[in-house]
Amino acid sequence: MEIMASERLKYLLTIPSFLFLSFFTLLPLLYTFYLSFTSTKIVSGSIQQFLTFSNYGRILQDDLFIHSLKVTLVFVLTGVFLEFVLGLGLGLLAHAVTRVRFLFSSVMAIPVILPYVSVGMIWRLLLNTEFGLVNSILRMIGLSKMTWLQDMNLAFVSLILCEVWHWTPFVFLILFAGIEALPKEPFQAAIVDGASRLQMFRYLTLPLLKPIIIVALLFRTMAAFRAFDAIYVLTHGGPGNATQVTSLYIYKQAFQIFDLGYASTGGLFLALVVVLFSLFYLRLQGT
Amino acid sequence: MQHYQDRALEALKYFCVVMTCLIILVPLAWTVVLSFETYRDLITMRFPFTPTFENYISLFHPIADLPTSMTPFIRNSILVTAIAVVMIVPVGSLAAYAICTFKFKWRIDRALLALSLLGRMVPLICLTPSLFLMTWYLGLYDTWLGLILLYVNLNLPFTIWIMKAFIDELPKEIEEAALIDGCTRLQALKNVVLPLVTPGLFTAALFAFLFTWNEFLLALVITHTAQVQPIPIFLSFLSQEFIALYGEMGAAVTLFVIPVIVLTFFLQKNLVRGLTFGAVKG
Repeated sequence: MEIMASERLKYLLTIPSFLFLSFFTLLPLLYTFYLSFTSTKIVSGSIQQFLTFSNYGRILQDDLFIHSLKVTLVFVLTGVFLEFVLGLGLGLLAHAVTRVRFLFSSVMAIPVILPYVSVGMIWRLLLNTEFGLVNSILRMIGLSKMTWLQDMNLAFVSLILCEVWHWTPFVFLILFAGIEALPKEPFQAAIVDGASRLQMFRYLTLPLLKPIIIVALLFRTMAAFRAFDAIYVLTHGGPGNATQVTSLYIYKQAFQIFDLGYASTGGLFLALVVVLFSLFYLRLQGT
Repeated sequence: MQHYQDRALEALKYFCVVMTCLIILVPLAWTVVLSFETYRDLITMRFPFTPTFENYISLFHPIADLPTSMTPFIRNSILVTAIAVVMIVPVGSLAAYAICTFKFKWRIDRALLALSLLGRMVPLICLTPSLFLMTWYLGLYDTWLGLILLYVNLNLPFTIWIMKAFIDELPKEIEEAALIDGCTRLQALKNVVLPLVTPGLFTAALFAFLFTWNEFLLALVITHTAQVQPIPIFLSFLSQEFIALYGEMGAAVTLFVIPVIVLTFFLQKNLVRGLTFGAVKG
């Protein structure tokens, strides 16, 4: 009786999650595959659809798509690299300042919880040419004001600034937790052996932190490939296509031109790139 | 000599700490201050200025440039987030409990974990064309129900994984002792397991709240009217290039972020636990 009840119970408990994930994650993914082999367009409110293989050939020759991939790669690599260097530096710093450690990590927890859209808006205001705080500071130290969001190159820098401000604290929190959990003995032994600080960092801290560093990088890389909200609000891909990352290009194809089949193909490409990067990190983790 | 060098190094460390805190906090404080400035004061950079609630008032009383009042967006966000969180936590944590406790035929538990991993791996943008069409065909396009169901789904993977981590940490013997003493499975779950995983439930609920409240892309894709759209969509209206409602932007961001900061403040311990969850588990 009891066994029967728990037999039924376990299915009762798992079925809701199972249904949700099958219906709203697995099914849409399969449907995206299907859509990528169709031309699916919305023309004056009605959906027009037919089978075609042209999307895959088209996407490889689409200069705007290739451009968006380049922008995405530079954005992800620069952003994640800066976040990692700053996050690690600040993690070591927080470890060294015993007295204010807790207060410091509390302050650093703030950006992590802020919505992407709101961070994009805050930076839109901060980088405003006329009254923005960044230009006010530049003027105070005697530099001339810059048109952050209107200039091709500066718009990309703005994006990186916003991203690094938002997510360095995340990398910091993860690495700091890792640094705090490091065993003490190897460091004491190294001091006895007369190792310099640089040697200790190079031969003890980094190797011991490696698994956690890889997890932090993996999380950030995967999230940076998806970055959409803040870019949508901050530059909307502009000026021109200077900051048009792939996710934004796909969005525009799907919901401004309403070419849903082509957008699905682009989405699958992006998913493939994300999976390849994840596998690369997991391989690093393995060795 | 050594002594002075140490003192200088110490001072440098604290200088960096203070600078970092300023870089984090000043932009936020500046935005809040800006939300109390009139357009004229802002553009002419008059300081000090007379604080005013004008921007906040005009968010709720649509004026020339602003197509719509913020009121329905706030209602939608609160409604959708509240219902979604109330659904996610039990659905996700009960599944996690079942995975940890029972043996399954046909590896259903493995399949569920694999599905949730898939949910975390695939970028949402990749699913937007199909989710748009699915909600369209099912009559869920531009409805609260559509938003709620999809938000529950988006949050499930994280909830299942983090609750699994919490439940795996409990010693099996406690629950087994309760069962031997004559508790049914449900009684053991309610009286023994539930109290022990409460911190986990709070962590899961906090992240479900943060994620749902902050979500933008899906709302952009499957909603269309102010009667359904959440606050982030309203914010994106304000940030269009030809709109120069800067004070209102500051005010709207402030209103949007306040609940996030307040809730996280009360649940701060759970936050760091949740963020570093993946890292510590390796």
